[in-house]
Amino acid sequence: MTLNTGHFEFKRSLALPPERLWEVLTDPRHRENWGAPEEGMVLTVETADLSEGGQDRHRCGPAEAPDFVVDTRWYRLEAPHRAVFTETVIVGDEAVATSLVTYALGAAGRGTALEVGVAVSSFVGPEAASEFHAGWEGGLANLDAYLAKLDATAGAA
Amino acid sequence: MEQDFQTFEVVRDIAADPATVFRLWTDADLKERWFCADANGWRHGPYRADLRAGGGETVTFTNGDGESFTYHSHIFHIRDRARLVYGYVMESDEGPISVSQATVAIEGRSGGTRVRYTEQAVFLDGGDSLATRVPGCEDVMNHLKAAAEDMEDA
Repeated sequence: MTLNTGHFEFKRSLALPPERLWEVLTDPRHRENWGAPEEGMVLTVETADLSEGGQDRHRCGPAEAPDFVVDTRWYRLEAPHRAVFTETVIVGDEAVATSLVTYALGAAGRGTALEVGVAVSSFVGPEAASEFHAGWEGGLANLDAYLAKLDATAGAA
Repeated sequence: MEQDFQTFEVVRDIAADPATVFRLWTDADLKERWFCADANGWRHGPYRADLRAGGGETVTFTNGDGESFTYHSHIFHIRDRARLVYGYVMESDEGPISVSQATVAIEGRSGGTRVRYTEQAVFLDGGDSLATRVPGCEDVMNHLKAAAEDMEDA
């Protein structure tokens, strides 16, 4: 059986305070707006239970065929400081990868210092770790753009 | 607030066939015998398990000093006689000390089965560490090996 593991971390400085950023990171309505890994892909939340032990399911992929099913299991929710969860990616009936993810949020001036840690286990080959890395990088770039849009909307209101 | 990511692997070659080893992971009565085997002053409370994809387990272990740790697992995926993937959280009396994802690969080989257990853990706020987790998992895998080989001999 193929099993490849990898681990990577991201650090970002974001303009929203921790309480508001926490909401954007965990609320399914917000996640649909920034969580897709790249241009032309969508993320649609099908079920959500934001509680410790709760499980979400979303679909992800090209808008015409979002065939990746992702099950999120929330293990730790310490709003607005830390979340720990796993994501299992399923294609057809087969799990292709799982990841263990942490969000750590610290106040930094009027904004937030966000640290994201991701440990990946791939069952389909070593390339999955770099694909996950690219996916998170894309998602975090989307997050930055989405926060700017939220900020502009709030400023206009 | 500290998150310490670690990955480790425990491998055991077992003189039993893959079907036997797979049953020991997926039959709750059989799994309790080796997974909850009391040793080194540890004892366990009731073991509640539904060992199907989507199910999970809960059991509390208590050491000789009276410290208790509760294990909650969730099974993400099972491939018959080949692979199990699950996540688990370990809680002390003060709250969660770690969250892990684990993969068990079961591979038939000459003379028996190779079991490769891979765990990716995040230890929270110094509540646990690789130094205690690895020996604990090695003990558990030794119990699995003994249970499988006993079944094969019976």
